[in-house]
Amino acid sequence: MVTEEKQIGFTACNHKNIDFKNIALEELEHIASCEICAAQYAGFIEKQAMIKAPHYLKDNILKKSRAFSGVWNINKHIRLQMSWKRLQMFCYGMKIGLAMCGALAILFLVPVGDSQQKEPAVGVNFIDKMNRELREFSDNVLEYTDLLVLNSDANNKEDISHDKEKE
Amino acid sequence: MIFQTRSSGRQEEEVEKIDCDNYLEHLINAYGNLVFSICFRLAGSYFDAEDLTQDTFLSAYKNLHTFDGKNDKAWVCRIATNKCLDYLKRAGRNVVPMEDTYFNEVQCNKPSPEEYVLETDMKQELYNLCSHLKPPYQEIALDYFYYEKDISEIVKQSGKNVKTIQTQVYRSKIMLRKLWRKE
Repeated sequence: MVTEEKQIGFTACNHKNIDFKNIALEELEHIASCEICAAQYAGFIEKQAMIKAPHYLKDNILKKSRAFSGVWNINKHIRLQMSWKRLQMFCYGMKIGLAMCGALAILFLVPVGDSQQKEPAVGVNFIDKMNRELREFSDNVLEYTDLLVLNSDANNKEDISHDKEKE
Repeated sequence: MIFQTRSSGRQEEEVEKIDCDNYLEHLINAYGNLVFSICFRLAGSYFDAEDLTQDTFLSAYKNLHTFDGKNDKAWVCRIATNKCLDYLKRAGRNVVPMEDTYFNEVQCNKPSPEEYVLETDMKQELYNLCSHLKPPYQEIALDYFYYEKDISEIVKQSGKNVKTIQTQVYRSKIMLRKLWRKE
């Protein structure tokens, strides 16, 4: 049954008396794009004379289709893997980029003036303290060694005087 | 079932693949001879028609997901016509074989005297071409293309290796194609 759409298509394509027996290339191109004419052409071929296809043709086609679907599945798997790798690479790149932006933000946005004053003061206090303590320690060590020396001198002098009295 | 939208799940994909394979087999069984007839009529060569028929059905298999399932005969016929057009343009031919040359070579499987004569002529043509080949390709070509024996039968008969027979069939086909084009 011819529907309205088909009728419109029919008139638009100008399906007028295509001679299927002596067909031209332009008409063939039309048949390749028009469903109605293709069906008519198929009917003509079926009525006129059909040629028997080679006996091995079906097996060859089925073999190639199975090979094709196998290759297609492998390609699909490879494509999925590649897309997953690309996604991982993208996430990694985003992380690096965010980290860089954060570092730059901290560098430029955090106020520098107060910190410059504070940090040297803390540093200076700490260093001064350390210096003082070290000096005190060294002074104490020197005093102790001086005392030791003085005591040893005094003992030596007493010994000498005792020896002289005995003689 | 084939024309539903794809959903996730490996099982469903496998089921869909099996459906596609079954549908392809159905198309070959239903329209194999028709497509071959169209290709032979337009290409004019037996072996080129065979290649074009293979390309037609493989193209149909690849594009099954785009098919709406309404008129499969017309769809397959359109694919075959497109393939033949590409072949004619590639070969630099702007002429489609005329009816008289076509019917000189055509073979038909319908039971009528005229068609029987045509089939006999076709077979005779094939026999002549196979006879032009040198041994061992001559015997292989006759067995495979003329007597339509399977590879397994030829292997049993000749005692040769399967791969050897397959290679010889492939080479004899190439030679027959060249001979057919020359004529």
